[in-house]
Amino acid sequence: MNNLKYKYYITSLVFILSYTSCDVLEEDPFTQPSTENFYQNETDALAALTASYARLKSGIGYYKQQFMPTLFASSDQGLSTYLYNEFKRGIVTSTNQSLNNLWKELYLGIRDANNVIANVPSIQMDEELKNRIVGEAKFLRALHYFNLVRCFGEVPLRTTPLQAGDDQGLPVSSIVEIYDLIIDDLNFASIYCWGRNEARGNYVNDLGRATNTAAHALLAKVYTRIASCKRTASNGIIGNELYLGFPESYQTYYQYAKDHCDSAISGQGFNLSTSLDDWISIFDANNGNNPEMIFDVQGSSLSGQGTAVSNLFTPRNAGLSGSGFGGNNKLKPLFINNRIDKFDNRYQNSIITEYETLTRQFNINQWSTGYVPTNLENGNTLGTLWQIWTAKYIDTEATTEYTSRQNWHVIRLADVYLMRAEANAEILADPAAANADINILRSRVGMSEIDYSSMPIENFREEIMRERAVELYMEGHRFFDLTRFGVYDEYCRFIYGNVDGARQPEDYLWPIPIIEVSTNSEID
Amino acid sequence: MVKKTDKKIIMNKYVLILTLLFSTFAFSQQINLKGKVFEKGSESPLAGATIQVVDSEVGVISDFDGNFEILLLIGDRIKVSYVGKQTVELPIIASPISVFLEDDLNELDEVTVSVGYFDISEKDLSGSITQINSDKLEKNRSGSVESILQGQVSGLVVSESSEPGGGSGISIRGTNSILGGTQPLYVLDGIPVDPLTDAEGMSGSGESQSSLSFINPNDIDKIEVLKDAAATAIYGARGANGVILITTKTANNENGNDKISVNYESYATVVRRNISVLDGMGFENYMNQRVLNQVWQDITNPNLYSSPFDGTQEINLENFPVIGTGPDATSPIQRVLPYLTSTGVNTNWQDETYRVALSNRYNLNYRGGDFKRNVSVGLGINNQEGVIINSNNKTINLNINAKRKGFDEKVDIYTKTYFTHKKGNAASVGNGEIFQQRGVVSQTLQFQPIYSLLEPGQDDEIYSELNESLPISNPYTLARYVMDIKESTSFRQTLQLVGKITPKLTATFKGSYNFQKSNRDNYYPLNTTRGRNTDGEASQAFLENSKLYAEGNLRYRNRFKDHRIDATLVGTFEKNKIRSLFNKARGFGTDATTFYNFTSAEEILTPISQFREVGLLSALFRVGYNYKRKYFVDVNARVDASSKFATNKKSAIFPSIAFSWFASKEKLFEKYKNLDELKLRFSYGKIGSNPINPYQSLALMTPIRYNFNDEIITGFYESNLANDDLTWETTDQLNLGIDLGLYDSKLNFTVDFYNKLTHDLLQYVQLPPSNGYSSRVDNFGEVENKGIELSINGLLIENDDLNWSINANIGVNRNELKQLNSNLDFQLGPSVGFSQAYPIMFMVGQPLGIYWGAETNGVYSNWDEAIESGIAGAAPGEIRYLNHYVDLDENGQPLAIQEINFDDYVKIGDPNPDFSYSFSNDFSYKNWDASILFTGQKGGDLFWVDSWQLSGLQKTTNILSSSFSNSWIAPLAYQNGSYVYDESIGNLNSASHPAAILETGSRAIASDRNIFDGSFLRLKNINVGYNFNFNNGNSMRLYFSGQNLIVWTDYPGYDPEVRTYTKNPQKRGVDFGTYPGTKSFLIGLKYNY
Repeated sequence: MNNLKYKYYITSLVFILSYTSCDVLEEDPFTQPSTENFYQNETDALAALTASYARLKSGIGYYKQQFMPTLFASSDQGLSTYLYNEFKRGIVTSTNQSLNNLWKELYLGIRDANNVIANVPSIQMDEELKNRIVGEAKFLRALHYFNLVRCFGEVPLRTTPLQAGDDQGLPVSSIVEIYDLIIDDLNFASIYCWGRNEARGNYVNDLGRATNTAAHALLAKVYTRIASCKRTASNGIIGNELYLGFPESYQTYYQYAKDHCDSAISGQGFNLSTSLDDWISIFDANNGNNPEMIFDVQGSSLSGQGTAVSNLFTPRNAGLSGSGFGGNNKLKPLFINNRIDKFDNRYQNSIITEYETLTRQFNINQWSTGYVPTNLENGNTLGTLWQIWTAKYIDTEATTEYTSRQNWHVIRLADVYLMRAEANAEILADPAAANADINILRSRVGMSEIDYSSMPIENFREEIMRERAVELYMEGHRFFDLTRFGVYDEYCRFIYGNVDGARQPEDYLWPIPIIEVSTNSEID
Repeated sequence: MVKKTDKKIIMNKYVLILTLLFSTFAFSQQINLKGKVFEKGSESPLAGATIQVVDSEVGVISDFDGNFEILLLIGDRIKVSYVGKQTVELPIIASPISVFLEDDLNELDEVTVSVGYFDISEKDLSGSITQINSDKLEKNRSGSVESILQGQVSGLVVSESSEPGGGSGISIRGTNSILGGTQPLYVLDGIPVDPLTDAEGMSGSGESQSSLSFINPNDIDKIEVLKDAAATAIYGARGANGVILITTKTANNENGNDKISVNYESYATVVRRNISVLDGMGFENYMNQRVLNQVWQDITNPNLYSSPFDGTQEINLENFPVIGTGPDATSPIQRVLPYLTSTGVNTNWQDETYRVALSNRYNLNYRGGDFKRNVSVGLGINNQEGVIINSNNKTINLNINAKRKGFDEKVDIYTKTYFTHKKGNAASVGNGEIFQQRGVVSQTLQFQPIYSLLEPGQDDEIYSELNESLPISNPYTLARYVMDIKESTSFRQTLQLVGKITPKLTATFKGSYNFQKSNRDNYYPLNTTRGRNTDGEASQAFLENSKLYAEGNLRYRNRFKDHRIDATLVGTFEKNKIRSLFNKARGFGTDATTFYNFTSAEEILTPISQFREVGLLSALFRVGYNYKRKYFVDVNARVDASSKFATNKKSAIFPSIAFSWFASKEKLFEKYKNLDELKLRFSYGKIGSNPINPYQSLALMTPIRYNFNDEIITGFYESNLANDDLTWETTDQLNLGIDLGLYDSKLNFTVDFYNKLTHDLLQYVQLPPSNGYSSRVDNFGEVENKGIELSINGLLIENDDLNWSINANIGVNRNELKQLNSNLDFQLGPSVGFSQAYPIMFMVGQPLGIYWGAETNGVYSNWDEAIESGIAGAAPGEIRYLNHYVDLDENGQPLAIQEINFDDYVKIGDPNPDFSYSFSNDFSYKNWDASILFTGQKGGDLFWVDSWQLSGLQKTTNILSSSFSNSWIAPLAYQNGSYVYDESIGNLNSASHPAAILETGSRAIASDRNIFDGSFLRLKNINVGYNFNFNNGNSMRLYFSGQNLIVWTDYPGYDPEVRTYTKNPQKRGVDFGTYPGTKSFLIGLKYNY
């Protein structure tokens, strides 16, 4: 007699379960679109490319923060925070966190660029724009790999999107293979990227995007590195011995470098500042993307778009940068006195000569090697602070650590002139061939012209380093210059002494980070 | 069955009531007997009772109203029986009759245990279950459920949090899972619940507090802890970490009375111990010693001087220019000691930051009604202060349970309501991302004692000199001014219908809705380190979780002679909707609006919003069978389907089987008079776990922003690789148990052996970052946990005046990672501490989460030793790291200078305890009662992150007194402006800590110097009470209780049991500025009306 009720219960139970079952187990993430419906049109192509740009500063390891101070600490320019002591002492270990952050973010950039390069070509859209997008992605991929190969040497070379199930990791490739990819990518970019701010059809190449000129400039930098590293490796610099794998003579690579310098210098839309005042203004936070800057990582005061550059290289609490713990990177007197011409207008006009914090005022000393602090309360002078701040990254409107509008200058036109000077001199083994380009840079800032005619090439190399240093100090080039010229040990010992300054051949490259080594069975 | 021999005893207690309405003396006359069967106690009709004429085949079953009719002869005897009731046999002399059946005494006396969807007698249990009843709860006065459980259950380990309102972590039978954590599944009155979850806090603002605070311990009637597969398989999908069932109090047994109890408690809490760091003078000595040591290290350095100091030369600038500190060689100034004259300041920052915290708890409880309809109301208020100034928490709990037997008493209707509100300020205990952002506790130990509190008008600038020329907040400022306000509200309503469809078949329907909301608001004001850097930094966050739960449940119970069967069919449905929002802003420039208003902020970060839905469907079928209550078999099969997994991998079957044998009921054991119970249990089953976030199996795009020339544009990138194989993490568990009861069950032993093998481990599989994806959620690897649990309880003395019982538990667990990703044999854990080392390792063949780092052997005495070592950075007074891996050059020759790096690291510790134990005594003498509980643990290493600074002697921050007094000291004094060699004051050869020195070597390496033995024995709880029994039946209890009064341990930090990451299985045993462990003293009064 109770069967009916029993049945009723079972039925209702089954009903409840079946009613809800389909719907409950299906997943529909509201906040993220699925990959399947992507790469359909022009908007998607641009959005995917934007992500590759965003990687330049998406995490703290790369251009947003740590990359520049680690390069600075690794060089011989001066004082940095103890956080980068391993770099300063040349004892970088695979567990170093900055190294791990950098590595991860470089490969995120490569992943996103690979996705563009693999998926965008099949989209139906304006062909010219499509090529530009792929060209920009290739430029970015080349930049990432160039940074990788310069810092780590042989690394895994991933050029296509990762497929599910294929994630055990790649072995490292030789640096020749890596440079081949970099060169291919940049050649493509130099053809298909557009000019500075160039308009074609309905589209404008926004300021800040990679241009054909930027591709040439970066190619010049790539070839200059190959050339100089090969040269020094042949002369017994073990730290550069991987470059012995390049087949042609170093002069040939210098020739390639020179060719691309020519192309870059004739590039549309870019030009050197013409006076000292102009030169000073290229570092003005209000003057980002000025025509001397060939490729910059973009800083902005817009929400989440700032960089830490101002904070890191400018004194704290002086109203010259956002608040924060930065202000750790300073030039050392030994460097100022010995590695540059400290009376050069470019040095004199790109350093901070006075600043004031809540309690003290700091005035530069007579030798431009330090500051004399004065207690604001009682006017007493305190002991000299032996360090010099650069004025290249001042941003008085930045409020906090990551709100600076200051761009990171990846490559600027003056660097291209300096490379051409170096290439010309090296190709002919005649320093006089460098005169023209060096003097363009000197005379625009009011410095007397130089004639390298009678100088032996070995001495010229020191001179070109001094010129590069005074023009480009604290812009992220010095560490790479020290290694490619094979003087890393010598220069660092001079500044930091025989204990902290000693550099072994293996210090020319940083170790592959532990997060890679421990997960990639193809790498020991 | 009632044995004849027992009849006398039973007659005494027999509660058969036979009512004769008519009596005749006619015999052998056939009558149609009409009768009705009732349940004694509730006096409700009993449907489905069997009425059988003795010695015949005639029998009927009572109908829905308990009525029956049967044809028989006057003088016949009938037998009336019913499952779970005593069988009654009686002669028939008249009709009609009423028969009242009493619960089977054997079964009534037995403790019933919830095994999940139903209760069974403890004697019929095949699984491993521990019950804690309200008596025990009453004795252990504690604010949280987790700490009540501590020491009560073998195999259950609690990692405590002392923060007011803080959440503790629990692990049962070791750690199975890397990602899954160790948190068991909590089931409250039959409904699975998710502990309260905090909304996201700002980084560095302390750990989140998810915890069990949704339930007031005073409302709990009993707690069951389910440990083995036989028990937890009922919860299949989520049972892998064990299941904790909580049953709240009802008024079922009040027999029509109204009862009120009022409870007031007041308690004082203090930091368990202060850590001895240097005082003002000591710190100045330390600062001076840094210079002396540096000078000695320099002048004896053969790399600097061809004739280094040998005790004879004069120590001046001419002989040793290195003792000058000038900017270049042209202007040397001799190094001087910084504190030749004392500042005279001595601030004890622990005194400034910690306090005696006074807290109060109030509880009001009403219970009234009878078995048929009753109501129970519990209201609790806990107003708690933390030992760190400005930290507090206030919790209000309301719990209402009501029941009615409706529809002619055929359907039981229950409603249960739980409401909780919690609000408190957590104080910024946590450490930030960088060195300068030390949290309150780390800062309390490290802040310089020669600095004072800020005077009005001063700011942190005055602290900058010794803090890397940065203005850093003192710990008092941090604790006092940083706001970290956590507020949560939880409302839970359950409705339950239980009806008897037939006498042997019960149907239950449960529906439950749970709404949780939690807010977390942070503000770092301008006068704090972080607020200064960010110009005021605020965040607002909320998290909302609504959950619907429905369950249908059929239970069939029957008995055929000696066979009993108990079968259950359950279907459940669960759906969670979670949404959250996190907003952050910086650059306020003023503290006027703190986190309430973002309008004045310069930089408002992109909000992070999340919407998630998670569904779970389950069906369970269980059959329990026993023969003569001697041989038991339980078979369980559960199917679970979770939305979180890949399309074709959502469902899984979790079966289990259990056997048990009540051996002591066999004739064989009859001769052992003192043996009351011997039971052997065996169980085997599969259980699962799905502790991952949803959407992990899908390939998804994520938005990201960039700007070109100051214009923002949005892009999308591929953030997830699809994983079509993502599925359940499964644990196979085998359990063997023995229950032994001796001397009228006054002495009981329970032993369990178990082996758990967890496979398809859900984890963030770390991929080579060069792939572009550095991790992915996947099923990989195997973990084994095996162990023994033993518990003993004994009633040593039992008489009218005096009772004494003891209880002891011990649990031994061995944990081993059997297998990892196919091609790797180790995986690094997360980075830890400011220097972000990777000290945690998951390695095949080792327990989970071992510590990995450099091995050390004291410090170098002198340059000869240092140079001989051939290790980079070796110098007198530096830590002697062992070089386990010889670095070779291209030709295979050892490099002249060896570096200490990851290759040289070895296992330096293991956070898994060897065993944990507890021991308790309960006494009562007349109106007095007392209980005392010890808990302890052997092994279980801790990684004390702060020891890097406190024992590293590398900075101008404060250090442990003991580290300084055992450090390397140069035999050098400074007298009248010059350095003087004095052999008697040096400590070069017997130093266990490195030198205080200006330029230190590598001291931030994770090494065995940071690992400490976590063994302890703790007087967890002591409780003394006196009961006043008044004539009118009212009673009052006055009691005193103390918690954590004594702890025996070698751990130099605050407390070996208090952890920073209580719920993160990847960072077990890490102490990184944890809220300090406390002890407390409590006085309470409870009045029962």
